[in-house]
Amino acid sequence: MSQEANSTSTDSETKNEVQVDPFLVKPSNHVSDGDYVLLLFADRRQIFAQALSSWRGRSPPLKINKRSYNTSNLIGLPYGTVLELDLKNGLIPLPDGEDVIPDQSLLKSLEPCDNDNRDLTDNNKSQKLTEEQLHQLRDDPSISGSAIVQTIIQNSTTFESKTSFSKAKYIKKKQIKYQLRCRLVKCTSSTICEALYLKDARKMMNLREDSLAQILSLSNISAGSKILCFDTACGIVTGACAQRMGGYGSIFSIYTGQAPCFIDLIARFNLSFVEHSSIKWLHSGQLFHDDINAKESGLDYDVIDRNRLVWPCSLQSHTQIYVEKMKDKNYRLEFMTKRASRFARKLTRPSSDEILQMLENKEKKCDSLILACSYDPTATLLSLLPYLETSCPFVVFYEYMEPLIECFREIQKQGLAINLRLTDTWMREYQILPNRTHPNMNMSQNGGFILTGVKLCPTFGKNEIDDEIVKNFRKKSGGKRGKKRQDGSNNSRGDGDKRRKRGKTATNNDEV
Amino acid sequence: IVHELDSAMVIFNLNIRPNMVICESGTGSGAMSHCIMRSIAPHGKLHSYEFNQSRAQTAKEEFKRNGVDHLVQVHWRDVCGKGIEGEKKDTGGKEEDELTFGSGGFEIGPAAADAIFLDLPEPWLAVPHAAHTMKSNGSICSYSPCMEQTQRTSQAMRDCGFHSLKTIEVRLREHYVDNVELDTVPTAKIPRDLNVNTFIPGQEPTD
Repeated sequence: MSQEANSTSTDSETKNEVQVDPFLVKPSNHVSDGDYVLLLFADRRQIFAQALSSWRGRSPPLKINKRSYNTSNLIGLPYGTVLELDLKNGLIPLPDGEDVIPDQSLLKSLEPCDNDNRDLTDNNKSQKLTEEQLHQLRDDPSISGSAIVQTIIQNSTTFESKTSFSKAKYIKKKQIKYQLRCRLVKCTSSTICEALYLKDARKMMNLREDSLAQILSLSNISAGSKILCFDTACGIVTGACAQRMGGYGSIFSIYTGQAPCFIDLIARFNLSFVEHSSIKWLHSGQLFHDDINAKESGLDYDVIDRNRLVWPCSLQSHTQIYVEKMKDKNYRLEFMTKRASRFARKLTRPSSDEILQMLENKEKKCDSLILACSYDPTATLLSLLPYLETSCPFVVFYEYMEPLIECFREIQKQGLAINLRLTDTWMREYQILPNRTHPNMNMSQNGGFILTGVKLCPTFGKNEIDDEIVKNFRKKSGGKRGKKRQDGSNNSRGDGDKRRKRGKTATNNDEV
Repeated sequence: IVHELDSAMVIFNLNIRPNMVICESGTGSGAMSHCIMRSIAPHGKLHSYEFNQSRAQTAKEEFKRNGVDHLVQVHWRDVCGKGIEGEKKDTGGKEEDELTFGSGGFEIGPAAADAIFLDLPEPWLAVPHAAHTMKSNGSICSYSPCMEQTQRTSQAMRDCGFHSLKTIEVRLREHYVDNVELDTVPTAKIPRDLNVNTFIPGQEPTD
């Protein structure tokens, strides 16, 4: 962490103010046009939506329960708003103070009673309303969802004899069906990861959010790092890194196939322009060659094209005619703005050869290496390790443990890294409610495995402790734990327990 | 001390990014503080609160030694509000390094923090202060070893208007890898000599 030379904040003056880099955009608290948002429903479903004021095609962008809804009324809302699903009008924002579980007052008015379910028979006949009557109520636009729920409760013969917890559960179930509400949540790496893991864990290589959290922490990412990342878990690792680095530094993300195919997911992160441009895409063919010696000589056509562009650039004749024909001034402005931003992107985008040169810069190698790909970890790691700087961490994530075991053994054999650790995590969620605290019913069993280590210098790095160096160090610092012995020797116990020396005990205390 | 897996989860779920303002209480050993500072560089600010004076002083010196004091400000303060404001003790150190004791709240003004992390024995007392100091849509996290503390803190958070509460427990399992060669069971039989006496219970031993 280097001190910024131009940071002038002093403690007393700017306790609360943060000197912000003018290049950076602060994440906003309100939904903007084109932002992706996440809708968290009361029945634990999570749906992505894009807040668009206008869209192409006939059907509106958001689909819930097989019906499509308009999302333009989401623009400008603060995050955290609760929305109610009205079958006719779509999602309606509710005022502050409302919760995803509506009518908290109804739940609170339940008196604690001594009921239990000893007299309850489950014969499906306790609801007096018929199915047709219910459908009529639901399709009637003048009756609100809460009124329907009240009617159902009144017509239930067994409601009064339930326990208060059971009543609350019943009300909640009916409310989810007839008065569906959701909360508008910002798309961040943790919310996106959770939503995708719930939807389709296999596509994401079983990357659960605690594994992703560990990857980000173990790889020591911070603003300004240079990261090499190979990600086939839908691009979520790349997106999370981009968010964590805030636009400072660069992420070299390797893709296979014709073009980077995770653009869709990365768009969900709502990355600012700077954060987006910190991701530099590299094709796998540029790094993994069949024939290492064959270098593609020749001109860099992308750079030549780019150098030909001039800004401000006058419109071509047919474009000029098209623009002049536009009647709406706003439309014309929008068109010209889009054209300008297209040029901006073309002018600032580095070509693939330039990206490769940036990566292969001998003076500054990568600060960390992250692998979350579905290809053989051992071979991939061995070919990408040369790009990593010495004493820097690498993190390999994989769905299953066996390939990582092979990788572990190979690295150990070749002596390429120290501090190798193969771990996985166990995560459990709890429901914390008064008198109803317990772990959740479902818990995921597989969140993937992580192998991490620190790269050793290829020429000087050694994985054993050199006894000579240790002796000299101890003499200088005054024996073990700083205590000098009177006879000048450094032996505390002698060579008794040989197992500890070989590192075979479960608790391997550091002896240095 | 907050272990690495827990600190990784906290930073991930609080969505900490560069240039954010974060509050943390208590400082303790400073391990969590360093993790947070790694993520809020280069222009972010961490306000760290510790009610033990010597620990606060040590933390302050350590941050300076590690070259991160432009990212952090250590406050000698009890955010739960159980001490007496203005208490000054003789530190025996330099004048400018002396910290003044404060009590209750985070002292950085309303709606100033992007995220707040609590590692306290009684976090429910600090939750209302946290709600006051938090920016709209900011996140709070409380780290407790006991279920009773968690229950009280959850209730306090709900009362103060926090939504989307999630309580998780994470554990790390480390796998030890070694090569073991598996032999098959030896098939050699025990050699039996025909002249040796065999013992059959209930009978006289034959000679």
